[in-house]
Amino acid sequence: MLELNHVSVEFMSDNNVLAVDDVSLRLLDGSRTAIIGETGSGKSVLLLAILRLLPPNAVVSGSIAADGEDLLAADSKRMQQIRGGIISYIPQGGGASLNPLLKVGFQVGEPLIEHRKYTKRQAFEASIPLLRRFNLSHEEELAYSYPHTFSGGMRQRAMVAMGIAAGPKIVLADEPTKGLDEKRVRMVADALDLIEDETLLCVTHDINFAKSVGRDICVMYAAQQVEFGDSKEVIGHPLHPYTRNMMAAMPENGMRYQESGFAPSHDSYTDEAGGCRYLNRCREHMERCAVTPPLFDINGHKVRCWKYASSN
Amino acid sequence: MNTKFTGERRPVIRMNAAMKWGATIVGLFLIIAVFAPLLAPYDPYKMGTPYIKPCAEHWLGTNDVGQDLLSEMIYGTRVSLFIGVFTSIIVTVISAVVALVSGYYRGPADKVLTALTNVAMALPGIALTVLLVAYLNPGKLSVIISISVTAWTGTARILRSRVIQLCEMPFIKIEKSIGMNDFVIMVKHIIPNLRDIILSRAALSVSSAMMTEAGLSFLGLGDYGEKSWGSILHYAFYQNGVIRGYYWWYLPPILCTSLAVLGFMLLGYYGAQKWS
Amino acid sequence: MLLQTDKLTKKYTGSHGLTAVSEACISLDSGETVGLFGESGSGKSTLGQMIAGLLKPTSGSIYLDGKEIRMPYRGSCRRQIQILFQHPETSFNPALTLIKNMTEPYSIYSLPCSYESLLNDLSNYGLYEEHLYRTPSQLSGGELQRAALARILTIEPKVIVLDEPTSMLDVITQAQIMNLLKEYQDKHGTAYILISHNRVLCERTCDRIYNVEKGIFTEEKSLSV
Repeated sequence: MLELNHVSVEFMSDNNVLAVDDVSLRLLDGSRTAIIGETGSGKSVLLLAILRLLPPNAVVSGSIAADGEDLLAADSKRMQQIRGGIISYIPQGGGASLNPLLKVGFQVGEPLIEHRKYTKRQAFEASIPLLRRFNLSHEEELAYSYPHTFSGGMRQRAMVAMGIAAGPKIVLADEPTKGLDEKRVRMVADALDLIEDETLLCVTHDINFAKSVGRDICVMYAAQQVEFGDSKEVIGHPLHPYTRNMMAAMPENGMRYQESGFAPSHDSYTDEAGGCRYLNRCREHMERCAVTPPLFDINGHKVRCWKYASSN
Repeated sequence: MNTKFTGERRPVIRMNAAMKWGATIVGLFLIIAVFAPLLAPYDPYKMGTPYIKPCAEHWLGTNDVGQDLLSEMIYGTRVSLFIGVFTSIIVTVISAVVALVSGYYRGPADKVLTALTNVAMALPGIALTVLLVAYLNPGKLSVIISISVTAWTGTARILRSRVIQLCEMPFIKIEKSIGMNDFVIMVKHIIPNLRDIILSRAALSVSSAMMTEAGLSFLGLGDYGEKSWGSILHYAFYQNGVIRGYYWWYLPPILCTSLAVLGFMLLGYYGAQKWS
Repeated sequence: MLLQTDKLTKKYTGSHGLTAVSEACISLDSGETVGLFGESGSGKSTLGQMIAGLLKPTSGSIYLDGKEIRMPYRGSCRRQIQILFQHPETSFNPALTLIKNMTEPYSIYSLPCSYESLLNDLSNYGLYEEHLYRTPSQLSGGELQRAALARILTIEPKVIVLDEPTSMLDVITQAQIMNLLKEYQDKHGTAYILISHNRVLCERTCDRIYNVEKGIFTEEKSLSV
């Protein structure tokens, strides 16, 4: 189980930037959650915060615990064991994160060498059934090839295979379909479907992908969590005005949306400004919105909007 | 990751620690070169008692014809810096032009210029430089020309690949499609994006040119009448100053050349940021 | 017929001898949006760039208003066909502020331009004075793509090639840009070639679609709008 409680991430520099603001998530074993949001909403930073892979000027507050173990307090040796071994990370789409100079079989098996003390030979052999599992046919041949002979979709699936090679309990996927075309997006979705036992937390800006991959959806806007719930509910009956605009803006739904003006520049989010962050785009704002709303819970469907205050 | 937008433009040239040191050293030499007549205690051409060891009247002693070494060194800064900087300017301009024409137009122009670059690169630099200097009328200009003839190739190659990369980027394609003429694209859109590489390579060119000039002068092929560090060393060696242990004669040129070269090389660390 | 291509082909020589585009015959009328739908690498961007005059075809011809046009495009022909790319961050000179980038079309075509008229025009795209003095790295993808669009529309082209213009943008910004394009088309009768791998987007915005596979372009019969 992965538990995030009031997690905030602030980058300290000449101008401090609040990249993640008070996010709480409780991911039970085997759950599949997708986080959707625009660029700059803080979703990728959140994943990196869990793995403690942020640059040194990032300050993480709140608590992050995996199966009760406090990840923020773990020392670097323990984190090394955790990364890849217990919590693994699949980076952005295109499989460009594969080392072009090493054979794919070696790279896919590498987590096993690191975390399960396999030998190089054993790890390489173990990579073959992994590749087969992700529908990469001619897996023997592929294991001996280099990444450049793979297509983008194949590389991304190899990355997924590498991500789960050492049998982690939790898989964090960071925009695994960015830059991929529809067909490849489906391949990645299928690949992630094959990860049944592990807990999945997937960050994406692609709503259709989020629906197919996640059973729960968390919507992030301006570093905050604005909605959380069952994916069918959030997509079918979105509550927060931002989520509703997102769904209405989809080509499937006719690309309609009700916003006043365009999205403002992503300025530094500090509480000096106060108030609901969606205020200047929201057509349904009220006077109350000058104060930041808390996260209201409506039968498990959470939303950060004053419109739902009475139903608390 | 978002950053706060204050509307401020980023500073024109960012200095890291290496650059600050480099700038200090180079700045010092520049001041010496500019204010040479004020700083030098004597006229470096005035002859006097030879082989005096460093003392109160002559801080660095005198050479074989009694000229004050400190004054020679101070005036030598002018020549060495002048030749170094001017060669660098010429080399930078030639390589930029070659790289731009070659990388932007591709096709036959590129093939010809690349062939030219390869030939120039294959020529033995020092040998050609020595030949040219011996052939041309002695003087600073000859030295500059001789060094420039083969020194431009390295920068040209590096710039060419960067130009090709830039031309593949959407913004250059869009500039072409909105009808901007080629010259403006090259000057307004490509060169500013080469600035970092150009400045860095230019600094290194100065170092390289200064060393070559020192070498040429040492061999007696430099500018005959002028004082340069290399020529001071030339006399120190050929007048047996080294064998006789006149350290005050041969050490200063070596140290100053090394220090100046170091200064410019440190400046060449432009763009290297310390990971914070 | 505003734009037509006749057996337009692009072959790359070399050990692989790849045929990126094979005898493409597509046509485009004023006010029409034509979609090129296919996977990555199918050749749609290559065709788009050939039409935009940025890539020289190996064989075949392009006709604008009935007259054949060849690279390099000059004069009015150059003005009439424009292109928008997938990555807004690299669609502007990173070393210059936005205003220096945006004023170029005015100076190239000697169009009247004052600071106020520029600000007024840009406000339609959600760009204001504060944006003008930023460099591309200080602007978001959506802002940059809107600015790129604004820049192209300044010169009032007849044909715009849209090479996956919204695939890097979030869904709301995508809708905004597609709506801006639609408004402009309704007012000026501009023709668009929309290159996309998003099937639904093509269906919702295009009058006709060509399916692209391995360089072969086939028009879809009867598209239900």
